[in-house]
Amino acid sequence: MALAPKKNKLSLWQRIRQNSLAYKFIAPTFVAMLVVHLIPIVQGLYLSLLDVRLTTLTLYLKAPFVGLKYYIEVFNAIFGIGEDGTSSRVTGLINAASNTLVYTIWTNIGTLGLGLILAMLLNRNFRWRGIARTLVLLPWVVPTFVTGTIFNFIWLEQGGLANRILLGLNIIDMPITWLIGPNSLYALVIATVWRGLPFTTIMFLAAIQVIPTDLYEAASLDGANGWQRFRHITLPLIKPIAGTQVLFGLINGFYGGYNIAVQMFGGGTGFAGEYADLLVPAITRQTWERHLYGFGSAASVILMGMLLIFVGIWYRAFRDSLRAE
Amino acid sequence: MQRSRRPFINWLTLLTLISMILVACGGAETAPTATTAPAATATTAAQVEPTTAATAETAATTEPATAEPVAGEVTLKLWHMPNGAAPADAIQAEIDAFEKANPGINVEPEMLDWGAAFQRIQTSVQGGEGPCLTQLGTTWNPTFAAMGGLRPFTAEEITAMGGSDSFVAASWATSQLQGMEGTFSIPWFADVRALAYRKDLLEKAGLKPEDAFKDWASFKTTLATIQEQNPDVAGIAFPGRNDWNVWQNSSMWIWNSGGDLLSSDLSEATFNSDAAVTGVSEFANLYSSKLTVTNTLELNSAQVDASFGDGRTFSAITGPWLISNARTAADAGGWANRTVADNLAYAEFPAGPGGSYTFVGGSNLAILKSCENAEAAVKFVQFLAGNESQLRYSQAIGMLPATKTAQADASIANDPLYSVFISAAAKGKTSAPIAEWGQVESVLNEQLGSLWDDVATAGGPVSAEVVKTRLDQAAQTVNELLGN
Repeated sequence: MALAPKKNKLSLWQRIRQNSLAYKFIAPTFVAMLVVHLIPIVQGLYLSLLDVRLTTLTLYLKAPFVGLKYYIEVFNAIFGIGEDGTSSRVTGLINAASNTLVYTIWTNIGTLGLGLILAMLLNRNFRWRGIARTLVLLPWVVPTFVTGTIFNFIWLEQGGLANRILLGLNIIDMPITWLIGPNSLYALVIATVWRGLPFTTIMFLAAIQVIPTDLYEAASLDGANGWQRFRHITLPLIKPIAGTQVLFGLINGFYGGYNIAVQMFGGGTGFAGEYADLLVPAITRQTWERHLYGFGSAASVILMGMLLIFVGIWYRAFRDSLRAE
Repeated sequence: MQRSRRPFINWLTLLTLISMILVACGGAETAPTATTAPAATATTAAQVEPTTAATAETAATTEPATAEPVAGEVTLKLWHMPNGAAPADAIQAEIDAFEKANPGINVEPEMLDWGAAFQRIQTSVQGGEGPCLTQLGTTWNPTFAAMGGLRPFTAEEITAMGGSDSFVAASWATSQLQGMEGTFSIPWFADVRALAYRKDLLEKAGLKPEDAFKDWASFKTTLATIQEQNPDVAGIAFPGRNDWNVWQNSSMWIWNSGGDLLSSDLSEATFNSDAAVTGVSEFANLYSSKLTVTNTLELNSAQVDASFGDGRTFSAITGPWLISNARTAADAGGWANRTVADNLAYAEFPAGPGGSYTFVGGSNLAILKSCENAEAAVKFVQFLAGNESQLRYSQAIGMLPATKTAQADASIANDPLYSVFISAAAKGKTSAPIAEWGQVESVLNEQLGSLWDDVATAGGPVSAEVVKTRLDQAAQTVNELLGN
């Protein structure tokens, strides 16, 4: 403490006073965030300790207190242990968790990889660049529910657009079944990537555009080839943006998929089958259809915890590039 | 300069903060009064526009009435779901007729999406605020009744509607709650399932309907024969996993096989009995025996209906709503394939060892406990349960009326297509009137849905063991939910 630099000597209150104008400006937003974020979060946390079921729902926050009962139940379900070896009131969570992991990895690879490629293509000079950039943005304006509905038709085994194209190009001989069986997860991944691509593309494009061109010119003079210029100039300079994208991707992957899945499979039932059932649809279904509200809150809190672990890993991986920003 | 500006900013911040806190905290009390008034005017205005001048006049007269409350002038809010092809028009026709006969009572409809309706109703039951009247899916009645959210109908009110015997038995059963005395909703219309088929193809095969759909064996022979004679037409189409009707479609095979969903005291799952496993296996293996549309397991109900309408399949598991597709001209939205339209026919489900039953669903009408104008609401329910409205509304939405009197009306009873549903409904079965039904349904849908994944990937017939494993798993979960 004694070694702390002199400029840090001001107390917190003094610092707030010093920047009072700024604090006043953010105060309304702060209160709004408090109301719409913090209160529901705290309520959700508290709810996860209560026995809120169909019969106790009207009591809501006055429902009987059960402590960590639901947390234990969810952990039992995930690790397959329980009083009698199974905890069957809660089903399919472990399956949904592993699907979610695969889903998150693939949607991130898809949106980040393709986004970067598209951004680099769109950064080049060509005749219809303006139109191309606009077209790339189109999926972004399609609501996720609509995306699900559209892809339900695209994936149809008979007469669906995907199989028509694949058959027409002679890539496959027999139509592929997308909407049932093991391919359902990939059907969901591709639809999600399609919807998420514009955002990553535009972010990467913005990042690439601010890289000074003289860096590339200098590298070319030194004899660096295209790959070397990408590897040593583009990649390091877009790393902060890429880091942010990975964070968004993680969050979207863990919490996402609901709208698209609900519309693409089942037109509203929210069950995409064991192959493509994700955590949020599974928790939502079990919470609302089975009226296990306390359980649902506990499961959501655990999901949040899991995500925090991944965000922690992410922070370690991208800490340096974020500081460089 | 800076000093003089400060107080202003301080005041501005304070004002913003106070107003935000007021808005946030006062939400529960102030918001409804603030929003209901403009919302009400907006909906009335929106509805008045397309309707006749007469309704515009009524709306105009209501204006001063709200300013100075007149005894007996009430507004009932009604939540309904998109029933039929033109849901807003269909319900408005009933409201107009009711308001004409009952001056002083106005009904304000609001349409909810099926996907969101359950949660909306639940929230309003929990919060004690919501509409006066709501449509309920038949399986929802026990849930909301158990939550204590529904106002029971009195014996006199039911007698005024003709008594419980005047409703289709399976529909009436859905208005009850096991373990609690009372009728919590009134059946509005019935959704009865049957087998739609092509008359022309059956005739071409030289088969008579009474033989072709007699039992499971004859049914499979029929499908195989039709497929052989018509290479472009599949035997049958039905929705697999990607649909709302997962347990409903399988339940008919369980019942017809001699099984049941729950034990007679409704305390235990029995859908994993040997008979039930046989029934579900029989159903599942229609696909493995290649008697179905090749991609039937990925289709939803609408897509199944479309594949029938396009002539791609000889038969389909569906409901009475296809009748309007067949009878509407192609340029007015009916089926483009007129051969199919002219040859639509229905049959009851082929009998299994346990008999021939069908699923009866549909919707009921309930009055929420929070309703302040229950007397007027009962009047509206009685109107909708009346013969005239039953006939008009059910035909407008392509469902079956829920009352026997309306079903016996010549326009339905003598109709060759509708009459099949009436005899099927008499043998109808439905969900159990227990508060936990929603949970039972959810578990069943999950395991039966996964069974369709198993069937799709099996590459051949699925064994009874595979079916049993799924149903056992569902039974274990259901029993746990039922408290066993």
